[in-house]
Amino acid sequence: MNSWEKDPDELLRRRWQKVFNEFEVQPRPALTRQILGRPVSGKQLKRRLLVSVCIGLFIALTPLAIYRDMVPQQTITRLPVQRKEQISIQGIKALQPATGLLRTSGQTIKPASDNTDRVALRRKDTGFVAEQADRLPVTVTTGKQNAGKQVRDSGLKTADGNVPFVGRKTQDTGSRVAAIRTGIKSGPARHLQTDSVAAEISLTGAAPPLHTGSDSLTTAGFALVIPVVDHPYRMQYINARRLLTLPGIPILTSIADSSAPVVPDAPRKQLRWFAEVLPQSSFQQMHVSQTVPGYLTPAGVPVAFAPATWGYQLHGGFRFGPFETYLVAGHLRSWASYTVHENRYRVEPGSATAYSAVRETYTISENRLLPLIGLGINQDKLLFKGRYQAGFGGQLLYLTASSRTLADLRAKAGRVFCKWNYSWFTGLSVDYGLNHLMSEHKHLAIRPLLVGVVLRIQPKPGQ
Amino acid sequence: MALFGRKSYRTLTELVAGCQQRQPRAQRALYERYQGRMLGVCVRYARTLAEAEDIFQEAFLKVFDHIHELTKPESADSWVKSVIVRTAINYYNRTTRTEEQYTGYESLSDTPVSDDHLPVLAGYDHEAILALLARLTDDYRMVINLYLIEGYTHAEIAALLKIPEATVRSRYSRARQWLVNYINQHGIQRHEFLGEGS
Repeated sequence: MNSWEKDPDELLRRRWQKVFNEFEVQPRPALTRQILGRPVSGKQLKRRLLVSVCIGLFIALTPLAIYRDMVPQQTITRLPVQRKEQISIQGIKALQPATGLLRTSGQTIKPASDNTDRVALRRKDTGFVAEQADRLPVTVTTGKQNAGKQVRDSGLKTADGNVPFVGRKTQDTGSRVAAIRTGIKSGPARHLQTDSVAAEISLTGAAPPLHTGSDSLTTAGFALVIPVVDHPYRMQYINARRLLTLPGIPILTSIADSSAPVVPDAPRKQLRWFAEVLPQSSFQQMHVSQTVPGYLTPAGVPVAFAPATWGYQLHGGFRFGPFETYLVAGHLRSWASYTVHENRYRVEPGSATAYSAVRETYTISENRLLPLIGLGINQDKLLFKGRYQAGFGGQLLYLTASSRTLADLRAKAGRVFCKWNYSWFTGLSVDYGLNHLMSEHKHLAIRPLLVGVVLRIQPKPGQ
Repeated sequence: MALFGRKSYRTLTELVAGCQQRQPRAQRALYERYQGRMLGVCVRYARTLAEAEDIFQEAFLKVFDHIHELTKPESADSWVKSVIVRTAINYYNRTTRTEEQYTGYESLSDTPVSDDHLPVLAGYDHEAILALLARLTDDYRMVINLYLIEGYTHAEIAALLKIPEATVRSRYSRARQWLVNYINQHGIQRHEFLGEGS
């Protein structure tokens, strides 16, 4: 006896229950949003917003706190005065017109011709030769001898107002030492702020003491010392290491030595705001999800940089040196156009036969602008004398519509220029998603690849 | 705490407890757990996908509103499904039952037929069954669903639909006859094209 003859309803029930046991229909995302929107809205939205704002403030304020800690280290600090090892200019006094020779250890300063008012110093291996105009000698004393006396103008007369030049900037080295005026002029006496000089010029360790033999220094030496007075902050580049390498009179040599490498002027780190607008065209790496019941073929894919592929991002944050942190807001463009060929058929009346099986196919075309918020961090580097800039960093974006998080890497390069009292940057950027997003129907796993144009505004350095 | 990710609920009890505390993440997790299967249930009871989505939405809002009444979290699967079925029944009572009282659908397909085509009917896949169910009237579809697929007895169906048990039996018998008649009249079915003969 056939089993169907026993209880056909029971067997039918068993088979149909088995058929529908695993039967699922995925709801539309809009329906999901509609259902979850009611219980989700309110508290959760506020909480997400609060968390985002807190993280943004934390990231934005962290560089500020670091900057405040670093400010004292970046200001010019005066070294403690070491009376025994420093050159004391307090003891300089003017003498009557005379021509003198300064003899240091193996060094000779020759008097220059009468028509020359500039001093040229050539450093040699063992010393240097200074050529100078006819000047009044001054006497330099070390220690506390003659302390407290004022330095007076020696009454030197030169052709160009008695302005000798030393240590001029040379083109071959790109030295940052500017042409330095000695400050010696004919006219009323000047007072030198020698304390500050003494504080700036300090020799530490085993630096050879100033040995002047007869405690006298020609005006060449005086002329070379004076620039330190006029440009005291230049001395911050003369560090102790360099001074230690100088023979004899370290100060004179260090200023006049244009061939020696100059300690680079480190860029002053400064917290600056910036804002960016970033239109982005969305390229996508797409993979078929395993849940698709069939196979997919692309259909109606937009061409590269078509208007339907563009989204945008707005960045605002702070720069600190080469680093920058910022908040992100905008819309991410997500598109997908494909045909689904499902593994199921429908029966349709055909011409040749009574019925024919037709494969179920349908085309899906998605194009959405997904709102996003996020955070980013970046490191920039100036290239080609500061005309160009390249950067590399990353972002963490939160897509509010789909509650998904996207991490991406950013690289950008472009031109830097100043205009309208601001510093501008324009260039190209590429974002590469580190994780996948799903298409609206969850048929495709999408890895975003965003190519965009960056336009940035920020205050000029130093403003 | 997962900042932007999904908090994972390891057990169904944790998930239900989270929903009872009205945690949005738990509600989302519960929804994602049942969304596919429950919308499939709704599709069986509805004539169109739009109706199914209406039932689905109404049912899930009931689930979120009344989940605090669930005393045994481990039985959440059957509880959610029962809410869906009851919502479908209510939807049917609210929208179509009144209309059917005047249409006299039960007079259709009274012709008794043999059960020869029942094996063919049992060999259908879900697509074919859904296509057949969509052709049934609402009351027949309701009884077929409840009896053949959900597994309720005639007495339980009578209690759910608030009709006499004899009416349930009658409706089921006539609905089955209608299905067999339909197969008999329309001949070759798609499962034969696919080589899925019973």
